[in-house]
Amino acid sequence: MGERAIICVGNRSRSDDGIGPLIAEELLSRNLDVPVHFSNGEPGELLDLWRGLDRAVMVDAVLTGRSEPGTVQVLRAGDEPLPVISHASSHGIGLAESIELARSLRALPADVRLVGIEAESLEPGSELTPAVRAAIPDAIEQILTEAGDA
Amino acid sequence: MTRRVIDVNYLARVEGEGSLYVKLDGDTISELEFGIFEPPRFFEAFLQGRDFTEVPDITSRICGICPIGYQTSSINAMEDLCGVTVPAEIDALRRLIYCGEWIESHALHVFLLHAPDFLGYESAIHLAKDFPDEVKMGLRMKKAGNSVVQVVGGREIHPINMKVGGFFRAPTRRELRALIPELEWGLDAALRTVNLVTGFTFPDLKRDYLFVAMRHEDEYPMARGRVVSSDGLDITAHEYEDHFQESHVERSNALHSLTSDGRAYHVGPMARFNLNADFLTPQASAAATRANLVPPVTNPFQSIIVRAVEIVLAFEEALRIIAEYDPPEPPAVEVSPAAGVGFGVSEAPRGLLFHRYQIDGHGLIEEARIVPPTSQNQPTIEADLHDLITANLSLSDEDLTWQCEQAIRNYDPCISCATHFLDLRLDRG
Repeated sequence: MGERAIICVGNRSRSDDGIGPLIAEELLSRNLDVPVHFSNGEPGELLDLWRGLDRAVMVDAVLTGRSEPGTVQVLRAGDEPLPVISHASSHGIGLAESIELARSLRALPADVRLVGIEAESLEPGSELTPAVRAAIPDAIEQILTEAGDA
Repeated sequence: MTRRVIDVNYLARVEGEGSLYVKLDGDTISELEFGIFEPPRFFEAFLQGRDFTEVPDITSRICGICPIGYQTSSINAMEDLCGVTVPAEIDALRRLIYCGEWIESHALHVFLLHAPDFLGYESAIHLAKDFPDEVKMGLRMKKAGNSVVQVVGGREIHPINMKVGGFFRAPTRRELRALIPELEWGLDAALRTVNLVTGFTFPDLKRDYLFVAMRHEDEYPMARGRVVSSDGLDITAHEYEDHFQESHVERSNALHSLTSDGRAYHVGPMARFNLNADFLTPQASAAATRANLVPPVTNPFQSIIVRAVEIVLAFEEALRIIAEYDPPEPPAVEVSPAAGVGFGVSEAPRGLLFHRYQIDGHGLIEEARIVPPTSQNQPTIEADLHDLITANLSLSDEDLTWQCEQAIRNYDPCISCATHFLDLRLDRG
């Protein structure tokens, strides 16, 4: 098995966008074999975290508007460009753009899986909405599957 | 008579929303509107009733890319009101964290937002395919700036260590020294950046600007100084509102600023450079000379070179401050509230940032006023666009729109990201 890592992205001050950091905390407390990182999504930082990885499991809130809040879905970023579904962080560089930027730079791991949790609200606020909070166990199970399978 | 309309609508993004609408009747511009319709955020209103010590942490939330600017101007205003001066060690630390902010903001703008315009790419993602080393260099420089903000400010985004009177905790010498290798690399990369952007082709536009920036007797301005202009104004922050006024314009949620006699003015890197070139640091000054940058620079497209020169300056200053660093002890001076009105300015990456606060005898804020650089530059941006379009009517709508967007980004307005993802609708009458 090649080098793998779980990288959780998000912002605690933007309601459901706080699910990334919350899941990172939970996973870190479990002392997994696979390294777990939290990132604010800054593209330079992500490039550093991605260096040397064969597989990156990215965790982030997404806002597609096409699923019920709390829906957990997995997107493979390795094959074709991601739709810009991620939240926009400072000055609009979201995770999807960072992934595409890294792809252009040939600095993207061969296998990138985005475990996205459909958000209900990305408004200022420190609480998750109930539907998104209830999705945490599902999301974690999915993350561990993506990080662990062959 | 041919009528054409250039209407640039905007695809939603979180940090800001803007639009450009131009209507031409033959060779005459009959309407030109650069609009910002980002919802007003009411910071000035919800600061009312808060304690004066809370203001740096609240205002830093206005912007994810320039929190230090907001923190610094608000702290300056409160210290002005309460009659506090801080020791040189605290001033140095404030300048250091401001260097970090300039580096991260300018590197982001030069490489990810503005360079694609000059090199003919739709976005940084497209640019990165052909210029991977340059984009990586830009991202690494940005990260070096972030590291300074993190170490001095406690975290990278919305840092938490600055307070009225100084800092909650002074970083140790060892923590700062750990930054040196990356800052030395960054200085070299910034010098290469100046060479790179100097080689770009610049659309021909020269305008007779009124430049407004800060000036300090000892240094290139960042966190402290007076307000000066290219026509001889030299005032303190107290007198700012006697000379510059904001008014509401229907099409924009941001207020427009003009001088009290009704003139548009220009704030930001070009204004700073033109009014303070004698205070450039040695390598920044040499880089400006090599780039043939002689004040007054009046082609707004050359602001990208000025930004690159300011990145050099910020790395040089960061390295100097760290080399001379003496941790302030204590890290902050005591500040007791005094009823009255305080005024503060600082040079945010995008230009002059003015704050005014009125507080009562218990330290509670009664009134707040914040004038960010983008609202000050809005009338100037429209005037640039007017001249640019008039001089380039022979261009296709597509090329003209491209140049207009590029011209808006000369000011790195806080809607830069938005204007990188534009829908264009053409409507020929």
